[in-house]
Amino acid sequence: MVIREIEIEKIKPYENNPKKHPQKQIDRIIESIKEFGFVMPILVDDDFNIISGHGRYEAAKQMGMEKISCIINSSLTEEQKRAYRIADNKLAESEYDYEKMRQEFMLLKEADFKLDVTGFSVDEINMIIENMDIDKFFENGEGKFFEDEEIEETPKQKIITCPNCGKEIDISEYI
Amino acid sequence: MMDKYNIKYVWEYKPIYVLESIYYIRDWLIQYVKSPYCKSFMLDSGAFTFMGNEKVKKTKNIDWGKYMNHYADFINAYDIDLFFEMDIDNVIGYENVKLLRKALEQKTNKRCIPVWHKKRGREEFIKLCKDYDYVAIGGIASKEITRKEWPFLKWFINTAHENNCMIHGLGFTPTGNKLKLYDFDSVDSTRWTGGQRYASMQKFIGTEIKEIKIQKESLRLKNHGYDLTQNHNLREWVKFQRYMDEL
Repeated sequence: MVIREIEIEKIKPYENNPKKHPQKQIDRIIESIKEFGFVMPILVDDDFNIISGHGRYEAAKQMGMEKISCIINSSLTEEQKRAYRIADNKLAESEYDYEKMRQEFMLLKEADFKLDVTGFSVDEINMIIENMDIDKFFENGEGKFFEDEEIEETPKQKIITCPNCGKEIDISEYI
Repeated sequence: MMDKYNIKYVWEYKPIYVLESIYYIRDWLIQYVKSPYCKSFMLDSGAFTFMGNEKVKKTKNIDWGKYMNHYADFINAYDIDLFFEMDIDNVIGYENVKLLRKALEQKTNKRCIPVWHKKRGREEFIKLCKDYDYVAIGGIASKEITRKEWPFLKWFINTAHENNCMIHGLGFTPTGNKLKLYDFDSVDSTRWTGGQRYASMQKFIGTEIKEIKIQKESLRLKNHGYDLTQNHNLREWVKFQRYMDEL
């Protein structure tokens, strides 16, 4: 298996691809590529026929990318390729743990990160964040009780290094 | 935690909201919180700080009734409206905390702010929201509620608000935009004193507070260095406080 940058015009989408890619989804993939880059190569055969990654290919094309990363697989038979196109999508389907998802979204939100690049719409994200299952909070036990210190103190120092010139300065008179 | 270094700066920068423990409060701060510059003042019982006192540590039996009486007398003497209960659940148990709460409220003829802890459970939180106009969440600074669990705080905030109850996040003052995301009605923290304790300085940058560590290793500042950082941090936090107040 080889990973190569291939000219997008040489790549051929599979005409009977059973997975639909509406423009709305392509738009989200474009946003994702803008944020994260083209981090996941698509899967093609020796003739650059797409086995998996039609959505990413279409998004890259609409973005005007000239080359994209491809994993070239020479070992699959025609039947295996046909089956894998179905399996690749089907096997990715599973339920989400919305409580963990919500926590992740909240932590991203705290960091001012754009949440819609995750592929979820703003409405979906708001629904996930607001519908929290507080039982999960209490399932985790009662928590530690009253370690009444915010940050551990560390011993004092009298010499500091100037971040600009690197000179060591004795600041004893100030401490 | 205000001390002698802060007197002139408190009067200069005029924080609009102040929370102080009865353990640390001094006459000069009482004068300030009673002045028109201070919109609201909250008083903490200081019970945990009291227990941390070296002399008290050696005492086997603390007379919490006596402590509560002293606390109530102070509240009455200065006509304090917002004061927290003595949330010493892990010392005397929640049932006894409830007795102390009842006695405190009888003695002051005012409602306190109950401080909910995780051990009290979900139903008790809902009950407190229904019974009180103001509740507090404890155990954030002490990691009883861990950093990863912060997203659950939204449930507590929403539940309080659904019951027309205000909610205070005790020790909850993260920097960045988290204060807007977790929309407590009030919060407090000693983070601004980190200039002295952890050699960190904070800067209000228009919409939020950013923290800058003076150096990687912690540094305990005293005298002039202490005074400078305390002054700077207090000024920046007051700017942030005024900004948040206007939102």
